[in-house]
Amino acid sequence: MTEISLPTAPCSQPTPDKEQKAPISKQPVSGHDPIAELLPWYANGTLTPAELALVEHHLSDCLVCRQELEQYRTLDAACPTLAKQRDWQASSAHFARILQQLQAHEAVSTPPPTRRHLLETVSNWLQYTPKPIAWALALETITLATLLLTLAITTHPTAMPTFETLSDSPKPAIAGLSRVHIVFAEDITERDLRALLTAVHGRLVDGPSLLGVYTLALPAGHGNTPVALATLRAHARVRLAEPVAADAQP
Amino acid sequence: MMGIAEQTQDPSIDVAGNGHEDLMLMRRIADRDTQAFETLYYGYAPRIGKFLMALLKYRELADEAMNDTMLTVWQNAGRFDPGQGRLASWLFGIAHNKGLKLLERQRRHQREETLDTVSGDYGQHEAEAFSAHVDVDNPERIVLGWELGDNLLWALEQLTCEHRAVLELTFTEHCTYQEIALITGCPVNTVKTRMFHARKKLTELLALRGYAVGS
Repeated sequence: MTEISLPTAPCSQPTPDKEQKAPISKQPVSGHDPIAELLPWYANGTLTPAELALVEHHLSDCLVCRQELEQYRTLDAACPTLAKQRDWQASSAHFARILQQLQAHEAVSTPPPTRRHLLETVSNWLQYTPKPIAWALALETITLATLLLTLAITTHPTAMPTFETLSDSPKPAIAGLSRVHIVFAEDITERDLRALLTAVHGRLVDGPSLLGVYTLALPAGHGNTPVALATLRAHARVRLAEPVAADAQP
Repeated sequence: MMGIAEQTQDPSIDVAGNGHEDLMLMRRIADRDTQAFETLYYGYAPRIGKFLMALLKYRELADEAMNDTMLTVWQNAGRFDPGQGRLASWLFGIAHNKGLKLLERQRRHQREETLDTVSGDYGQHEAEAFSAHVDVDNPERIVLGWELGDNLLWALEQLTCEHRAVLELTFTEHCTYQEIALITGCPVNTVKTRMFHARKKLTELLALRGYAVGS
């Protein structure tokens, strides 16, 4: 490997103008190090007025620092240009993916509502109740239960018939339907929404969730779902349309 | 200094970095306002994304770190305190942390090429290129514009991500050294030391290619 001499100071030679102002020696002047450490932020223009005055005073005497400053100034000019060339753009598709991840994360991390067991509640309550009162209540409860049981046996000797109300009937199955999670743009109009639902023969069956996600039911079969998905995704007011995992077509 | 508003995709979005407005925005996000979250995304994601690209080099990694960052912001928006610094510093701090963690995971599988690791074989290759193209008696070429930019980009990519972060935050984001200390979670003196070594290594790397930074 070719040995290359790497100067500590910059490689460039000072301009004639700078040479006139600079001391003959290239040795750093006293108090050089603390000031030299501030040079990057002198170059990016973020020093306080007090620091600025210190640096400027030092620069007039120190050739080494003037040369280092030129390097930092080159970086200050070049780095923003290089940053612009980096291929990273914000996009509605990327934001929609982030929302989807948030929703998935919140669905996993949201704890189910805590319901204390009845026995636990009674046990805790009894713990803080004076014993004579607790025993009296227990005896009273047993007596009441015996009475109710006797009453039930004498009035209903046969098995209780089961009653079914309309509200007890099982929810209608959505066989033949596939579901899609959909996020609309904030400015979608009711007319646009109706036209879109008509076009894909869909109907909203759930939502909006915390993150504004609706569930759309689509008639499945005959390759309808992919066509409907394409229609939804192509619509200018639809930010996200993803099949629900359990219904997803292979 | 480049203002935040200049970077936004939607010019109607006002994220001028005002402490009170930032606080209001973060409170709305803490209240699960997705529109406020979208405002924050378009206001800051382009800068954070480019910073993560500088740090991690690859689009896929930058995307993953960005997603982690936004998830953390959504979950911890209520913790933002404008008294501790600008919103941009808080966001860049989270992004920096996520970026480093991701890089750490990557390093378990694949050792990253740094200046130290390339000084062997790569140094040999560079020295050969140097001999072939540069006048040995006058090895330094002061070149501005595209040619230096291209080589500078290469040299920056050879640095450690800690050094790249300090350079990026100083010269692209125009942060103060105190803000960089806050973002990177280091003492101010460490920030200054990293800057010194980053410049020194850049100078060495560019000299290998026959260039010098400066006028």
